[in-house]
Amino acid sequence: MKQMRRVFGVCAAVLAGGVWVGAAQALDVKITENRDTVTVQHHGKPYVIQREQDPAHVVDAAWGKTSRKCPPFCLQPNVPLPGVHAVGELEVLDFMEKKVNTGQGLLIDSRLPSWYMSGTIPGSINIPFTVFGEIPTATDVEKAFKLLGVERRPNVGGLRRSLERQFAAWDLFDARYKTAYWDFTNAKEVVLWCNGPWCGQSPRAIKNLVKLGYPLERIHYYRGGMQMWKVLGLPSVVPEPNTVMFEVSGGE
Amino acid sequence: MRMITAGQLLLLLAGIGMMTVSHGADEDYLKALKEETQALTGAGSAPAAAAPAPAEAPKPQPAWSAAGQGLGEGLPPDLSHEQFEAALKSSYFGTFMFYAKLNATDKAAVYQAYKEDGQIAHIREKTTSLLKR
Repeated sequence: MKQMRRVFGVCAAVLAGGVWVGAAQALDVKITENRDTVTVQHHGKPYVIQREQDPAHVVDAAWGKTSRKCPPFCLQPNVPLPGVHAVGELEVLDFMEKKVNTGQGLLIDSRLPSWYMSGTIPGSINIPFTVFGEIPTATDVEKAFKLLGVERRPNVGGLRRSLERQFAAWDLFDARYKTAYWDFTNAKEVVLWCNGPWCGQSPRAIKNLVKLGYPLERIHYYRGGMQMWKVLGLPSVVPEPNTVMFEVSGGE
Repeated sequence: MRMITAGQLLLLLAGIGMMTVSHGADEDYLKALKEETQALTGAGSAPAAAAPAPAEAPKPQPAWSAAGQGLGEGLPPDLSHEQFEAALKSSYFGTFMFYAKLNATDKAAVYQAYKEDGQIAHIREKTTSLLKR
């Protein structure tokens, strides 16, 4: 009887402790009703994304500006190009868990390095929008495409390209995802973002990517960008200097 | 030899003109982005180091500007420390942001590194190695 009382006492203590711990960890400000946090791989290390918990917290004044000059900072359409998929924060977080963490997708900060270095969305790599505006065989394009799983094609003769284009509809030459210079067959899914609904950097990147031949259906556009990310109390991370991969002369 | 018709010549000139305009528009956009970065991060207000008053005021040196320089991968040689900082801020603002976080001794070391080799990769490497210490 004494032993049973001891056992019951221990169980009660464990139960109470568990309830207390659970209560201490419960967040007041979740992501969704069923989602407290998301963990994303940020340059090889796990980063836990959790919303700001202080109800009095407000976004930095610089991110609260309402009226930047347009042009150049004009409102951007939700869909920069027909066929590109527009996403919101929850889709970005899903993408982090399902694609970024498994290496199947990339979250791309399309801004100039100076913006990136002031803070980026966790899980992002920086490929400035200017990179995809270069000629298809530029060194930076090749470097960026390597990250995106795009392969360089060996010299393709004019006759073969002509045949590929002629018979594209029948896919006789397995050329649906190929251009003269690049093979996009294994290209990763990408989410591109920049500063917010007034920022043209990622829309430019998207348009140039498509011009280079990137499959439309693998491109997603997070229009809300850093502004909405911050307004919703989601965290940014100041990147390590050695994660800057591309230099942009004059606009770094 | 095939003669170009007037119409074809006009088209060619129009194409060159459009390319020139779009290149200029891209540069304007980059400039606007850089200004907005400075406004956002407040990095334009990097504190000026207190300098002792010189016995004789030195002749002011023209600030080196990136405008129209045909930017490559480095800074021109023989800039004063002040000109070097202005050039870094003007042309390589991201690197400047990291440089601004260094103390005076480390900034002098970066300037020394620039004098040895003006390539931006070398300057950036020195800056980041000092920051990591």
